[in-house]
Amino acid sequence: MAAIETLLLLGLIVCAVAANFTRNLLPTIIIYAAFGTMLSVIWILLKAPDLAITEAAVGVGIDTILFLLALRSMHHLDGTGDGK
Amino acid sequence: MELNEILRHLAENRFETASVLLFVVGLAGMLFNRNLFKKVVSMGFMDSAIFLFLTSAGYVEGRIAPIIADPSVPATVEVYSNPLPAGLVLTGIVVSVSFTAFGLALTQRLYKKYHSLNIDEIMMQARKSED
Amino acid sequence: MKKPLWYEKLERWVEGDSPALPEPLAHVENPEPVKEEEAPVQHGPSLLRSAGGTAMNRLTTAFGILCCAIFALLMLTTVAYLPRFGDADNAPENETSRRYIEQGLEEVGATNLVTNIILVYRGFDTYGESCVLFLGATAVIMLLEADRKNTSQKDRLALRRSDALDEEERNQILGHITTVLMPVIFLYGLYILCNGHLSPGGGFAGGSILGGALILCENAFGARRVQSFFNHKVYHIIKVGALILYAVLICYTIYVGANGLPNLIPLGTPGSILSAGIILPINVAVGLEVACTMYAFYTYFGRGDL
Repeated sequence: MAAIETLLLLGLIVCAVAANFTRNLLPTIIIYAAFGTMLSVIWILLKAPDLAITEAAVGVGIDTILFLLALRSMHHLDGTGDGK
Repeated sequence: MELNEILRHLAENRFETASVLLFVVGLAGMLFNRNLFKKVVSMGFMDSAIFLFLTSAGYVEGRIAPIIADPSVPATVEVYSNPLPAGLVLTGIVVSVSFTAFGLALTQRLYKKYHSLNIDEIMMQARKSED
Repeated sequence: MKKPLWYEKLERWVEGDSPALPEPLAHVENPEPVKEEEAPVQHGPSLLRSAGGTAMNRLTTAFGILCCAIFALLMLTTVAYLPRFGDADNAPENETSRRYIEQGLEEVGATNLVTNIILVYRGFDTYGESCVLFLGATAVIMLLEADRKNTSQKDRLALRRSDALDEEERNQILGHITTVLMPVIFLYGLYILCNGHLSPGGGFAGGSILGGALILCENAFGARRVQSFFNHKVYHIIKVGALILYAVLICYTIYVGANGLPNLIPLGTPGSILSAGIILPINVAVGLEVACTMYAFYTYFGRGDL
């Protein structure tokens, strides 16, 4: 159990660092969604199922949709110069 | 305390340690990212770090989630983990979504006006238009 | 490395062939995440970066890194002195949570103790939080509403054109699957909403699932179909009505509790769906509020209107 917990915690930190080092903004959003998913597993491990279900619905679902929509409406991807 | 002992304590309190590291990563992201979009994302990481810290304070080893399975048995503290931090964090998660939406709306308006997400660029253009 | 198909699709969607936006933006920024040094901005003479600017900036960056490091050290030291994780005599394990666990079921009536706390014991707190949601939605509407002041005639025409285009080439697969899935998703959301006092979930989770279902509806059937039953009027009525219902219920509880009056709302048998007094209506109110807010966020980011 402790191994899974440690793995998830490490995953959280890796996600948070990686989100700062992407050249495009779309990967940042995907990393953010992955972060939320891992966090919602951690809530289960911490015996807080209410938080898990809310995080999965709000933190992963709605937040990701918001970010994607904002990015889309800002037309920003062609600006980040990753080459398509 | 010895360094060894400190490290051992940190490894024992791994959730708190991880949440502190997450918070610092988020803080660094807020400070050093020039991109407004990434600043909003970093703020989300900082939120999550605080939630992680609070929730891990309420966890007690060997106790089950605070949902009473059998109402006929009187509930005791020894069985259920602490519901108080979970209640606090639950409201926090929803507020953080509100914040994200607000931050993104502001960013979008700035982008509409200055056609850039870079904070330096925006400041430069704003000052230029002031003169 | 080849990008997977879903990523390419997502990328294309984000880039958008939608004409709803102002002309393609020639002007771009460099998003290179800057850690050590500032990426110099080379656009003409700037006030920020005249002669001593870069040195000043480097100093600021160094100071920022120093602050982060000091903060991290300080907090890590604090964590090292915290009581052991998972210990039974942690600081939060005090008489407050004991009261909530041991008396919660008799006093409030919900088997989910977290719901007891957030909706009744600390209901006032959660009411403030619902108001934060309300304000958040209002602020987003103020900032993003596409009204006469901030949109040109061209933008509005483009929006109308993209709507018409959407109407013509609606995705058939998405439409059919949504027709099948929609009742299930709504049922799931309602289940989580109405079982908030018995199982994990409650107003916030259920409400955002309902909001997500509305968003899916909008994507599959087009904005006009959703507008036919969810327009500005319905939106305002639900939003304000839910908030007022919540306020009335919480005021009643506080009044009764503070004056020691008998509670007229029966608590019911614990564990059945119609139990726990005011929790079920409050959950429904919060859920409606959250669903409306989420859908409003979505539509105002996407179209600038409901």
